[in-house]
Amino acid sequence: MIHPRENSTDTRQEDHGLSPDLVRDLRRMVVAECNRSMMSMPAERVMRAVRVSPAAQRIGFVERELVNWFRPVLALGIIVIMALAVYNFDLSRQNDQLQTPAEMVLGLQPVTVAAAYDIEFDHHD
Amino acid sequence: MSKVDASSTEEQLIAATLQGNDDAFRRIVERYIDEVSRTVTGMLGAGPEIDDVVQEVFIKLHRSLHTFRGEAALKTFVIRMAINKSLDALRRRKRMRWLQPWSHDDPWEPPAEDASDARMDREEDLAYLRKAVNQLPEGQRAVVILRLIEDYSTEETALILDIPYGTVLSRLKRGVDKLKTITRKPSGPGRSGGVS
Repeated sequence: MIHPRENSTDTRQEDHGLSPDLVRDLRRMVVAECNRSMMSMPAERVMRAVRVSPAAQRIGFVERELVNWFRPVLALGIIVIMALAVYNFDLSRQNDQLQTPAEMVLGLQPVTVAAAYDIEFDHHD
Repeated sequence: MSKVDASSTEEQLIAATLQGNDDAFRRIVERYIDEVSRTVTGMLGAGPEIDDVVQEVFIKLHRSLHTFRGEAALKTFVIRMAINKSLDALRRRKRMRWLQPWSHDDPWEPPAEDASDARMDREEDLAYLRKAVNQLPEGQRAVVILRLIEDYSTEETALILDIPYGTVLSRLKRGVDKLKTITRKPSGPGRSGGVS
């Protein structure tokens, strides 16, 4: 339980000109938010955190930051891969060659012995 | 190792902490945790990260206590750290918002136990006030929190934020003007001069 400031009567109202009601409400708001957000026995938890070795704290921080930065990159990567797979699959369906699903998804040309020896120069006229 | 009790002075607590006395640091934490929690919450608003930021403040204090020269009060030193850590958390939030634009901005709300109409109105008013505070730029918000909510003097606020006295006054004036404007709107809580 967080306590409001002991000296909670604003003695310097002439400096800022905000109504005492509004100042009181601002203080009430912060105390209410604080009590909602803070878990019980905060001092105990602070002491436990302080006792954790500084190296572990540093590693924890680096891990957290890496995960935070990597998450959107991972999501974007998955979207790009899926889009490419759909594009390849769609393109492969348009030609009449017999392709395996893996070839279709990966966008690979069908390689057969016949195709390898089938040399055509029609397009280079 | 020197013994400490409730009547120990700041200097005694700091000296004992630097000698490795955990009990001394616990007393420092207990002495300032309310102020730090209120300052951090004032800057950030309710949320699950408040607890972490408060812990970060005291961890940093524990690590940098040897740099405390005693030129200002320990409280000034601690509250300055609380403001700096809050500003770091605000920047982290902004970065996350930029990286994860799909994440929603609604404030974190634990389930209300008593959902009576009067209580709901009151919570709506306080939520409106929070939105008004969140609209203030970081510098003005820090001054408003320290000066109006924590009731520090202008000199103390200038010392904590390490800015000139005149800057505190101008930021306070601009911050208060903005709060007045927002809370005076017909839909705002200031329709009768305050939220009460």
